[in-house]
Amino acid sequence: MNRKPLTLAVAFVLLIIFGLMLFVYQVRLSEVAVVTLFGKIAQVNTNAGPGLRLPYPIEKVFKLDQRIQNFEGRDKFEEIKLHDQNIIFLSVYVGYRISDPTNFFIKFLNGSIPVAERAMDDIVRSSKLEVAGRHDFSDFISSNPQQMKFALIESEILGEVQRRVNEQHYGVEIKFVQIQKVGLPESVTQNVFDRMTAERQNYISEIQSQGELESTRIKSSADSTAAKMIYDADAQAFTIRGEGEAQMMTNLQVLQQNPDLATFNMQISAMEQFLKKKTTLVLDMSTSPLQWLQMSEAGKTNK
Amino acid sequence: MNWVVLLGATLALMLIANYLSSSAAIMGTILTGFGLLVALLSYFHIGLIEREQFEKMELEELSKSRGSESLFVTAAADTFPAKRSREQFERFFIPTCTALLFLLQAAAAYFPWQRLAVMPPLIADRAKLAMSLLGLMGLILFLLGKYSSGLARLKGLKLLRPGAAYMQLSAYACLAVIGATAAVLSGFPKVDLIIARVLCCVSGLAAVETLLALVLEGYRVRVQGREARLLYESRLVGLLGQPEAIITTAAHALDYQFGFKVSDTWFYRFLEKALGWMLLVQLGVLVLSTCFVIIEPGDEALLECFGKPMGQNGVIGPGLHIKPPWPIGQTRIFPTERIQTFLVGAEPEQSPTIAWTVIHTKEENFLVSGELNSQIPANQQTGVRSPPVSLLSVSIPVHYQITNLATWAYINEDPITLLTNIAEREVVLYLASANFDDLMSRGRGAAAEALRRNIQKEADAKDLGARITFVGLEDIHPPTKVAGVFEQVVGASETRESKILTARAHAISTNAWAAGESFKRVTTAEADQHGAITNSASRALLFANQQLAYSAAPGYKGVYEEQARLEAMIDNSEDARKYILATTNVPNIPIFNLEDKIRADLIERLPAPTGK
Repeated sequence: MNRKPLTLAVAFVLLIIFGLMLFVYQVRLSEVAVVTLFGKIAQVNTNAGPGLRLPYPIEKVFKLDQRIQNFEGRDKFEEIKLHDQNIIFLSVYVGYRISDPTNFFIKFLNGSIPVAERAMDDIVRSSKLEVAGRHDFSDFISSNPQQMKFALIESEILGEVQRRVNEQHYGVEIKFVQIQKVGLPESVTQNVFDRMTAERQNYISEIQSQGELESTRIKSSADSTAAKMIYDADAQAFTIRGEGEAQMMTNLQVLQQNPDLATFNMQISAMEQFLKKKTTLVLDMSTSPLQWLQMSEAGKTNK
Repeated sequence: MNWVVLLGATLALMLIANYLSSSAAIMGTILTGFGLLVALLSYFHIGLIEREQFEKMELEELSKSRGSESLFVTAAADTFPAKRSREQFERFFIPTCTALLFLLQAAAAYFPWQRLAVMPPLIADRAKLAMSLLGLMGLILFLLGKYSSGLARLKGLKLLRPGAAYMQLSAYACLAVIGATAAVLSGFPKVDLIIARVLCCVSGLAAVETLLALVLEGYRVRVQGREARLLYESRLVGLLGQPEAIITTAAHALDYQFGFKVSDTWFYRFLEKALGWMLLVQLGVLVLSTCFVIIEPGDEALLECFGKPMGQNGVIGPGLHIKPPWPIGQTRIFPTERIQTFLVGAEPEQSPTIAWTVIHTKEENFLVSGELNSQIPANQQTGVRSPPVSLLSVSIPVHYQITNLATWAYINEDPITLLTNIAEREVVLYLASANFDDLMSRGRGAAAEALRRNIQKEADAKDLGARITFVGLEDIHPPTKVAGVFEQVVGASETRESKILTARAHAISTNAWAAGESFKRVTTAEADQHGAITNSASRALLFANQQLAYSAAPGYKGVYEEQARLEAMIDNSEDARKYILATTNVPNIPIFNLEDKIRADLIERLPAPTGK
């Protein structure tokens, strides 16, 4: 007896919950709901809030996200030949939003985002190749930012994609197409490494040469200064000596009063110098004062 | 009619599992399929028993009308074909089907275990419809299962019990699939696989039980008049399908263990009566708990009622908030105050030292423009000169904060990926015209600030509702392959400085020597000058005096001259070697050996000749 009201209560609550789930649907602020009645679009509800529906499979509710979708494509990083024969890798990302839910729903398998993106990926890829092929390498990479044409390239791709999407009535608005990455093929990468190495070697040689140059300059300058200083000192020394000799000659003018004595003095002085080192004198007995030895010997003999 | 319901349930679950791409739903379908097999067995079994009962009734009627039963007693075996059919069915068909059931249960436990893991993920867009259908189906199965198990308690209808148990198990399986789907929608994608594997385990346990029942059937003592348990009836499924039976079983076990009737106690009776209400209250509490939401500090949430933002823009801050119950009211929590980060380029490995020449990340190289050399000829076809490029390994952390939650959540479908793409684009754009050396040295700070500004500008243009708080250029360096030669540049600079310093040292010493030498030469000259002057003066004075002496004894052989000569000879010939030729009247011819004398020490140190 006790179980009956309990079962009924549980059944009632469950019935309310499942009934709500079968007859009511919700639409978020960022969504649009496409309601189909036996497979035919009956209503497109863009108002956020609850909506009434008939249970499945009579009515089906498909919710489409109306926010800006962001996709990068299947072949993200793709090799492209440019107008100036250079080859680069280029990837872009695309932002789009569903602008016409009915068309989008019909074209892409009940509004499937992955299906739509697969279809748009072909268009984006084709437009990217076409637009990039019209530009030169310097439009992508340049030391002068004013010469770069990133924005122009992006706007050209955007225009091309939007035109094609409009032609096909995809029901989407392309909000932006932007370059995500630019790269070089692997084979070229090695050449870039070689160039970077050579550039650095160039710097190294330049720096080392600067060192050599500066070193030589400093040394030469120092040697030159030293030589100049020596020459200046020598000149000064010569002058000083000259002045001294001039004074000496003035002082020695007195020698002219007795030239014989002066000559004798000079001879004596010369002899003194002469006798100073490693001199061997061979003297005979007549040399003064040795004659006195001879005279004493003769005296002894006479005695 | 259990089998009809289970057939419908199996087909419906199969369609839902396919539609939803749910692993748990697949396993639910398999379990319901086993129920169908069991229910079919029960159905045929019941049919045979009914036939037997009719046959028995007919026989009784016939015997009453003829008045004698001796004729039929002797020929019983031949006159009860329905009974024989039922016995044959129980003896051969049921064990065979039970063995088949065991194989299927074992296969269902073994094979899906790995395959479920590689199944495509659950399709979230279809979840709500599938959950509604599963709920409806679960309710129907539950109510019919309850009804059927109630009937099975009546005498003679116990064969309905196995099918009823499977119906209730299927109802709970539907509930489990709904729970798994809700968990996946709430951001726990693994729950679907976990529930599926739990159902695999249930199938495995059922297989073990079936095998044991098959083995033990051969050793079962058959007592006349005692009803045997059905071979294909699973106690495990019965327990799982009727959770209240678990309490009864537990009560019996407690009765046995404690030696008195636990099931007679007030607590047990209260529990038995109130269990349903308690579960209902628990469900109510669960629903009520979804009416409150607590937002942690640093977070904000978007509160929606039927998908529409509540209040001004639906944003609620930290604290306790009341909201409509799930699924009417839903909140999405975002870390708005928290600084969030992502990387442009490769993620560096955790290492205490980051050297350019050692690979510390999976390098992602970005193009950097070089200076255009005017000597490079232009392309002949286009007339355009291509700039040289360098490569730069980049790993740039970007920090950001959500500043406008409504914009962040409602404008872009995947704002984090979009912000990452924007940052990557701005880095590519900036580096494409940046100066390589400047970027890695003094321009690093300015580049980081410029990048932050550019990313912010682009994020604002796309209504992201985020503030870029930091862009770091710490890990930006030449690729590892060429990093060594960059380090050699530093070495060359050091060599240059070394050479310059050596030259400066040379200059200092040379200049000092020259200054000293110059001073020496000048002072020497000054000394010489002084010497010459003073010497000459003294000589002049000396000469004046000598002149007086000379004039007293002038000329050759004069006293002055002789004295001066002899004094000079004596004073200065002290070290001179002197030979005096004493004999004057003998015509001697002196011969002088002017060879240098050999040093005595050399001769003295020669070894003495030995006698040998």
